[in-house]
Amino acid sequence: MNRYRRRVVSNESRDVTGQWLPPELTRRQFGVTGSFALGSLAISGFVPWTTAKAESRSPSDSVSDSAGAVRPLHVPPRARRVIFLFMHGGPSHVDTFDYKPLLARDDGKPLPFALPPNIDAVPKLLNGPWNFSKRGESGLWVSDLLPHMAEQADSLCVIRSMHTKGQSHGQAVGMVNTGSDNLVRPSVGAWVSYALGSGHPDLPAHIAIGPATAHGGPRNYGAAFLPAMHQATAIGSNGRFGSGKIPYLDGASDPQNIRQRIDLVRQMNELHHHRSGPDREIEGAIEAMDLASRMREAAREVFDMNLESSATQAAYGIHEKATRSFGQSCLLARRLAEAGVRFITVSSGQVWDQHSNLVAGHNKNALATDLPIAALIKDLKQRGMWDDTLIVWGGEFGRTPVVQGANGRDHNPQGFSMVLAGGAVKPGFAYGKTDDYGYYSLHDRVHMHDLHATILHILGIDHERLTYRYAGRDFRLTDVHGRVVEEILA
Amino acid sequence: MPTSRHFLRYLSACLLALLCQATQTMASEPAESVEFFENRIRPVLVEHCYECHAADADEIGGSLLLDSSDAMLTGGDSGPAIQPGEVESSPLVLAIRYESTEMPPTGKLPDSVIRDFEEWIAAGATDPRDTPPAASVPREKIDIEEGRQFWAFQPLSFTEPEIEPYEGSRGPIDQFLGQRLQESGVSPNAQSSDELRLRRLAFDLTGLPPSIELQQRWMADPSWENWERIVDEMLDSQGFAEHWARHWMDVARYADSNGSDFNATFHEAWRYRDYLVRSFASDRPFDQMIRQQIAGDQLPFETDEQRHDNLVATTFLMLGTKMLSERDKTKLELDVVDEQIDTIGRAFLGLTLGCARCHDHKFDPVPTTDYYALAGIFKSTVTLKGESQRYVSTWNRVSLPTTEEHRAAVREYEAATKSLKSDIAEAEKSLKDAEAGTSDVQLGIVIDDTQATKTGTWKESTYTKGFIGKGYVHDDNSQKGKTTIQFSAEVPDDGKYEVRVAYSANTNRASKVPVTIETSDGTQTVTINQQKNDIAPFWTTLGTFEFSSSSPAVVTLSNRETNGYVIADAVQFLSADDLHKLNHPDQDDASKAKRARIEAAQSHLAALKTQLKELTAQKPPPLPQAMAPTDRATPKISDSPVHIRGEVNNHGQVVPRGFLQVCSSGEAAIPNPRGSGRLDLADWLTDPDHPLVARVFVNRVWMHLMGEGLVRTVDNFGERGERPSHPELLDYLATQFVRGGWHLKPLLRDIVNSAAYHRASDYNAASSDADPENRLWWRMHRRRLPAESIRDAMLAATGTLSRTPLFDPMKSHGVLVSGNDGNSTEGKITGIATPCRSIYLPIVRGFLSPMMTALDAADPDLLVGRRPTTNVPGQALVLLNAPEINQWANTTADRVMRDAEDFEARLNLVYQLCLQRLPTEDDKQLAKTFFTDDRQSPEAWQQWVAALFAGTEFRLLD
Repeated sequence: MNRYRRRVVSNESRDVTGQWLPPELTRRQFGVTGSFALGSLAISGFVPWTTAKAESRSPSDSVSDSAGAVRPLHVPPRARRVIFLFMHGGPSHVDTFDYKPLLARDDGKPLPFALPPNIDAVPKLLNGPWNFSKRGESGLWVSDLLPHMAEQADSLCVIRSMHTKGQSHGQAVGMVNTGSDNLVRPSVGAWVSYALGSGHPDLPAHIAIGPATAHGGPRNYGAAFLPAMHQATAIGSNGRFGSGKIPYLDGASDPQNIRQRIDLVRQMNELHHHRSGPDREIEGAIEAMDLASRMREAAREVFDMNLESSATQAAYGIHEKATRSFGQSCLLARRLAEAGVRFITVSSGQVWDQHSNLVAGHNKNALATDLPIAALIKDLKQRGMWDDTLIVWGGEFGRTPVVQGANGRDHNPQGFSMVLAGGAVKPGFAYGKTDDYGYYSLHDRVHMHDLHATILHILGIDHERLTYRYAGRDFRLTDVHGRVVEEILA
Repeated sequence: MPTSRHFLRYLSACLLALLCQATQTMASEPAESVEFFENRIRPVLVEHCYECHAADADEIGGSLLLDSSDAMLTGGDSGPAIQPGEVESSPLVLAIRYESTEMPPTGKLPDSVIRDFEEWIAAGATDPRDTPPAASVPREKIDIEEGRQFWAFQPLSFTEPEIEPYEGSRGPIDQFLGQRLQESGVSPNAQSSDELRLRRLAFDLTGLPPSIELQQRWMADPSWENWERIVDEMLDSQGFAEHWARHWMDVARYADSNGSDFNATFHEAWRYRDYLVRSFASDRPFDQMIRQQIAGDQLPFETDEQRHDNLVATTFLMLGTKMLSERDKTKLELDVVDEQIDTIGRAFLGLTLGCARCHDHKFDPVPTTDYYALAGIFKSTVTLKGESQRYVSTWNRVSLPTTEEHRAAVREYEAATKSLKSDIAEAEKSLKDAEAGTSDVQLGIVIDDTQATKTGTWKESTYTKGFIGKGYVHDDNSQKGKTTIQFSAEVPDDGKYEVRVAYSANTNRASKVPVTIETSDGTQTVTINQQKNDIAPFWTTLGTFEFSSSSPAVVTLSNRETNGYVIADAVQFLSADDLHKLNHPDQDDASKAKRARIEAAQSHLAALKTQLKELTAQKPPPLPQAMAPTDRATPKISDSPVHIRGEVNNHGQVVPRGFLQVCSSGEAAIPNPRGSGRLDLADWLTDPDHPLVARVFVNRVWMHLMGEGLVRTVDNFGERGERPSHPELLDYLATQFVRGGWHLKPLLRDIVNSAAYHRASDYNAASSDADPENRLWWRMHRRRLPAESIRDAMLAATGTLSRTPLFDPMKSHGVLVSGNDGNSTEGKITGIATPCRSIYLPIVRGFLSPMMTALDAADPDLLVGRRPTTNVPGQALVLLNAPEINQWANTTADRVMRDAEDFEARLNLVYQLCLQRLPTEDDKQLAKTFFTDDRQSPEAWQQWVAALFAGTEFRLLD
């Protein structure tokens, strides 16, 4: 009973002389003699915090039942699932999809209009080394930086007039992933999971492959105040595919052992339930244990990349070092999409942030991602999944047409490009315009809120009607903004 | 309402106007003319503005109409849209210039159109539109007096329960609940089993399972006297203080790092946690805790201890997650203030004040002006201060009191360190001087870059250490072919000299730098590869050349056709004699002497460095400081304007600092704010007549013990929240709480000593039909244990749970808990395997323990008054497969096998350890079937414990 007798604290904070001491001094048994002479100061007996080796983020709450909150759908759906290829760091639009002849002409000259506030770049125009040409039958401009995506130009729908909030990564990454640059809000995938539920009875609706740990980390695929089940299950981290498995799906013990344990837990729970009578909490827990068991079986197959032919693996670049990780991620994304997962984010890792060495950095990132993305496009078409899958490609912002340092570009939320693809959008199409140098979004501007409204619309959801009441208010992904960009719909 | 005829007329006017524009592009009408309006202004309004700002729009943006002259002058939320003659004071102009807000949102109008509007307003804004303003947009004004009629804003009313005490009632709580049960004809459940009641009490008060000794003591005497004794023991325990501190940490969105965009370490947050533990241990009055948390820095104090707690408590205001890298600091400041107001609103008032940032609260009687009355208080408070790196804000810190001895020790240490460091610098210089003698620098003739003749642009640099003179120059890898540097020397004698060039080598340097040497035999050209050097540390030989004393020896580096940075530091000319000296330093007496000097200097330096190392090992703890706010300097304290629609640059009227009108009996503005006004706010919150604060707090306490709040939306007492199930009971408890001096322990005692607290949670068909949600408390709610208790209970079962508090968990972390490059993993420190109580695990935002998250621990990004309880496969998987849980199961199984001999004793022990009860016949039967082969198998026992840990009974309080 000693435990209950031991009084804490309030009167402990005094040394033997009766003098008050700050808690960390007292509690470390430090300075009990009241003397702070040098030499007596070594702290003994204080165990510094141990740094545990990291586990990756939990799969917590990951499986929804297949029913979502929006039924029937608000509008006829044009796609059933989204694969968001998140180019974290911010790829340069003026070096990829937004061709600016005047930038080439005026390379090295001063920017002829004002910079936005809080920019480090000097207002001197910088032309990148990559050539642009018209591609395919559509004649869509794509640069040499992305040769494989360029080959698919007739399948791409480029929005060249994107703009967003947030001059720094944290805000802009929050905007693209959650629709908020400053407040804690559910991620796009969580909203989709909440609205549609999963297309597979035993798998989560929302999965993030290689999500970043920085710039908000889990917040960018989290559920915030939505039920926790809508948070993404994370596979790998920071652009790395890792083991490519759902955490905790398997324990240290062998599968037979786990099956036996699940069976024993079930029997114990039945006894508890028998004593309690009908009870939602106990029944829910029993149901969750069953689901976990089924999820283990379902995931074992879906996550097994060995079920893909060597030719398919090669097409995604899995056999090459440069493209392996992103190729594996794209291929898993296709397998998940096929199985019914609604919203899959594949992150490049925060690699596109070329404040310096634009050429080397962008070349490297393009090398890692371009071929797998093109393979994904071809694969979806070949498997008849093209029409009901929406691919979204882009970063949290673009990059400035003016130089930063000797050879870099700064962040540009004022104007940039994002690419959509799939049956829902116009193929080989470009929408909107930036100014002559690609700095500001100028015509047919599309704000990040508009893109979100459009993504929901494509999935059959009216962004103004998809709401969740929290803290006395009905929240939306698009807050009080958002316009469906009808002009890009096929 | 305008008819569609009106609209058609606008439309035709618009078309006509466009036509006119097309045909008479260059016609210039005077800006004050009706034609100017019709041709230049009206078409733009129709095309770009009417969709949202005409009376027939679906939704009127900002309550502003632009479809008549009067409407424009009357304006909307932001006041009048135009001020005729005053271009710069016309919000419309600022909006279309994208300076205040951005209108139209679809895209900025062409500059020429914006100029038209400027000219039109400058000329008096002629507007012939005679349409009378549509029935003005209904702008519902909040009626404060009417708002006060809402139950939550009514004063507390103390009433005694009406019915006579009845059988089984143990006081007013049971009387109030009994009255409603009687009226509804619902019969309450009987008392729960003794075992369950003790388990319930122990987890509710201490967050820990009852020990086996306590289980035995209680089962030997399950009387009310013994119950009350055990309650008192628990309330006096350390476990109680830790558990209830954790409840408040949920509300305080406690974390040890910032999370968000820039995961800065909150090195000092633990002090606040520690303050909470000590406050709950000593039953510090809650009104005092509120005053300390809002304005501790302004409170009077008599002792250092009081001052310490006062300051540390204000960390409450600092703990929110912030976008520290937001470059627009005005916006960041407003966001931080908003987070503070929202937290205070929900934590203490149960009101969602954040709603009133952009518009009058849509449901509660909180106008935007009330929000900005509060915002003025927090804008006058320093929360953020300085930057930890460019654009990235950091927060205010305040020194904490400590002993004079501590200060003296730090002073002494700093002085000693400083003096040692200066000795070391001195010694290093002596060593360098001694070494200089052996350096080849002084041999031969050395021409530094500062003495050279340069053409083109050379940049001076000291970036790469190791150079001759004070630095070197480089060509910035630009202006190729336009930049040369010429080193010219006069050799003393005719003859051969070896020529060397000094530069710092690096892979970004040019690989072929052309160098010309003007010798007595004529000009020679060589190229050098600046990516490396021949002779350490920075020399490269060009070769040996003939020079004459009568004409200058000239070496010229150029950046012509180079492919990287070209560096020039110095050029050296070495005669045969110089080279001999250079290659045979030991043959020289002078060199020997230098060598001795060097050795002496080296050993002196080494000794000093050892001293510094020893001193550093004895470094006293740094002077304590708190993550805490202060008031701004007096001239910077001010009232805040309303920010219309929450926009940073869209200012409305200035509002005097103050409180919510609806919960203030008199004037809500502070007549003479003391400093920022936080102290006034603290006084207002803790006024015994405040209708919300005590109600909200006792309701939280009730929820923790009784499963649901009397108001189930514990953070929302407003219109959108639920109404209290037992308003008289809520007011009774709140009044008693305030009268009793805001002490938590008496309130807890009253609740856990009530008969209602002891009811079984069992299902009953009749009662369940009558009251399926159990709002009458006919039974105890079955509740999920908090994540911390589940983990602590597992550790308790192992017998290894440490009861030593841990402090300063983030000590080993730098400014950032994890890097921003996306490759950082050092943030992943959950310490989940440490056998401490879970309250002492660091809460690192972005790196929360997957186990705790799966078990529904509070998300520190949000204020969590009531934790959600989820039942999802992820949770089941963690319970089945998390390696730590498996380990704890194994340890518990080993303990059971060690501490009990036979099968039955082991089964009893494992149930007492895990479920705090003895096994039932059913349990025994299940065990018999499970342990068929080998009752001695450790693996089987491990499996059994692992299953108990993952089962429903372990994590539910029946």
